[in-house]
Amino acid sequence: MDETILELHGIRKSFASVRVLEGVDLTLKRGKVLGVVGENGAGKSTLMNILGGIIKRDSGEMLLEGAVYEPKNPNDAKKKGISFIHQELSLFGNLSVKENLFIDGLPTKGGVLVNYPYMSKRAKEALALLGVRVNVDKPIDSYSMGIRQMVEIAKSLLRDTRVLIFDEPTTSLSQVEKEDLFKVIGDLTEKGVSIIYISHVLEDVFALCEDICVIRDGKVIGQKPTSRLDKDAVVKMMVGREITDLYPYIQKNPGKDMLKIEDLTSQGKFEDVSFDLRQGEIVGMFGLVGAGRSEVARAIFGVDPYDSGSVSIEGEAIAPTPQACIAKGVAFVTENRKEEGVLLTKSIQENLTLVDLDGIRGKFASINKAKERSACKRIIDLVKIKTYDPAKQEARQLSGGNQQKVVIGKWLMKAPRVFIMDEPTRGVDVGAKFEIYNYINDLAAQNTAVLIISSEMEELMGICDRILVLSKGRLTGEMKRGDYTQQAIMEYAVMGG
Amino acid sequence: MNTNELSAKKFLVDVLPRYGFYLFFALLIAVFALLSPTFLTFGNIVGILLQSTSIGIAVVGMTFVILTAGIDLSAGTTIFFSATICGHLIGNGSGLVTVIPAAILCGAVMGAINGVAIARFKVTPFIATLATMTFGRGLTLTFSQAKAQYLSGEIQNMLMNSNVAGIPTIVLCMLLVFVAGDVVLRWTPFGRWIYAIGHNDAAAEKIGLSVVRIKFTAYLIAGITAGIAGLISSVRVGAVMPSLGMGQEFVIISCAVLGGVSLFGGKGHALPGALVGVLIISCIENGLVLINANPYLYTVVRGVVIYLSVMIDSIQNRGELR
Repeated sequence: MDETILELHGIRKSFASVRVLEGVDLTLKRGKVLGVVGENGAGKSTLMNILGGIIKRDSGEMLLEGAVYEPKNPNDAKKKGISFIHQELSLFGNLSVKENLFIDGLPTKGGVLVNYPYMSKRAKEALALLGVRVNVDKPIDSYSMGIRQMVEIAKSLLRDTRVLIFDEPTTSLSQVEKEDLFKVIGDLTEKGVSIIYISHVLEDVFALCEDICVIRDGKVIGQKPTSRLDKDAVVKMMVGREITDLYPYIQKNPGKDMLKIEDLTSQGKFEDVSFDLRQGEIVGMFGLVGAGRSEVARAIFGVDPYDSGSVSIEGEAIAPTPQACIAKGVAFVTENRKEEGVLLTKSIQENLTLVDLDGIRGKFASINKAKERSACKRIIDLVKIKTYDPAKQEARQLSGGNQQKVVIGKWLMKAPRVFIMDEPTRGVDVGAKFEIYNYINDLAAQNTAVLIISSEMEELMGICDRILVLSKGRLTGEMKRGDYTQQAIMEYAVMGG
Repeated sequence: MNTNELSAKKFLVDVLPRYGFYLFFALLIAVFALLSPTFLTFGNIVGILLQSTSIGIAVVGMTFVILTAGIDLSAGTTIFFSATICGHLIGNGSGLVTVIPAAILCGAVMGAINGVAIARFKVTPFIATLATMTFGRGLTLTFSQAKAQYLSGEIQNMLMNSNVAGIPTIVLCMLLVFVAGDVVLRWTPFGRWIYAIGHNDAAAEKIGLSVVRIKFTAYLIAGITAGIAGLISSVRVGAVMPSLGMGQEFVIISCAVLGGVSLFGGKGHALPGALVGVLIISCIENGLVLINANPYLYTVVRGVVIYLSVMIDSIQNRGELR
């Protein structure tokens, strides 16, 4: 049963003069799951895009079941049995579930009109195989992310898929949806489908994969059976150095109260949330999906309205608008990096100076280019953004981790007094995560009050001085460092509100 | 939570934008029927439909374009261009057999120019069609020497006065175009791809749809329908004035948007939506004439209706865009 289905030899790829892949070798066995891990920008996406027929390689050989595999475009790759499930799903919210399943090859009656009855039948069958029961005539927008992902998987199964590539499939899934996904992946491998699983969540990779392949700087550092690896070894392979402590913590002595939230309520989202943040303190906020964490953060920063309660900084109430918050020195990193965090088509420089245009003002309300450049250079060096030219390179060309650094960096132009971060390390690799934790610590050391929202309990336990737990829109628990246990946090998180 | 408040909110956000415009249509008819005894007579209804024909046919093509999240500002110019060429041909004694293909060809040329710029070279639809709108009118005026052109009666007779069971053939033609457009949009792969592209063209590209070809075809269709609209409006009026079609693109766009075709793309239908949009605009015009309203009022009312429909479009689609 150890039959090789896919082999890559010496894959190379350069963009302009930048070498992204420098001779990658990879082997995938039939009916197995291969985990591919590496830092952002290591070349994983490029490699998978080559496999999926989205871009062409410069050199190297690919063999699918022993035959030369040369995909001309994504459709050709799919026809040959390789399907790709992207991190951002390729679904159309305005179309029905069944239309989405067939959109790239709508079956027709007599070659003209779409054959809807046939689509309904096949769609129900395909989804039933995955244990999903939905109304296939309803628009896909009306279903959860978990269901949408299943639809995407069903879409690939409608063809004769032999290799299925997942790119960060769990980022927007709840715990239950994630377990369903893993069960489906298990079923698929039993049917002989081979899986390539890309993820930053090492726990998942270890739980799912038979083999793990680590990529760094466009090269394969090693492909080994999971049984012969442990997490520390993988992290070391990924970053090329030893990270002794994944979660750096520094001793602090918090000062006076900075941000005070009193009885904040927004009907149907959260109720009576009260807490405070002190200068130089890092406070974590944990909660399960739907607990209202992001909603609270958005209300504090004035992005969404709240019904009652108050937000004050140093005893002074602030109006619920982002402008008022920014004026008071509050910074906010949203969880939706691509939609709300960065201007993808703008340069890194323009992104960085966005919230502090006053700071780079020249004569007659113009922008002082020299000031702009030097201010950007300071931030780029501070947060270590990898860029060839901040004035020319667009934010969308950066890897996820570097984009997140831009988002955080723009708020560092003027040292913030309160920093609210919603999932600051989501979709960010281990190395960049470590760097982000370090700036958070630096900020706290400079007396900034930091509120971090995260779904990763370990992360909060690692870097926070205090953890608040939300459940069903209510604050159910608060713990000081030293009292943390995973079990206690989880108990608060599932407490009935 | 207050249930009354909830249902009121549901009505405002959910029900009203979706069915509100049918309600508005019914109300409009009722008001004009009360104010003018002739409004609901068979003759007047046929008149309203006749008046809708040229705009209506162009609205079908515009629906395709707007569904791809695009816009065609050159529709008015295409109408003028096609009308001028057709008028010239009619003046030289050509019959329908020549004139109809000529109208289609004129529209196709304009549509293809738009399509190449927008689909192939990724020019913003607003700018690309603004350019073709401007140079198209300029070229046509050069050709016609900005003179009015009057058409002889024969073709007018053939097109306007033939009917089936009292309904003018030309009205039936418009309805046929609506039905055909709707079938293409709802029932063919091409139609469904239009909706997919309008929702997310990057994703469409990623799954291997040929976005360039689909968008190009949408603009081609919009051009062709505007070309036919040009022929009809010249024949209906019996003359081609140098100002023909000026500003018509906005009437066409607003009929579609009023009918629920979202300017954000991917939402709305040719039938019944866009057709009802056309009829509302025609009814307003016709009704105001019947009640002897100040002719300037017509523009005001039309403007207000467009303003409201675009606002409702934005409110309805805000949630998803965020």
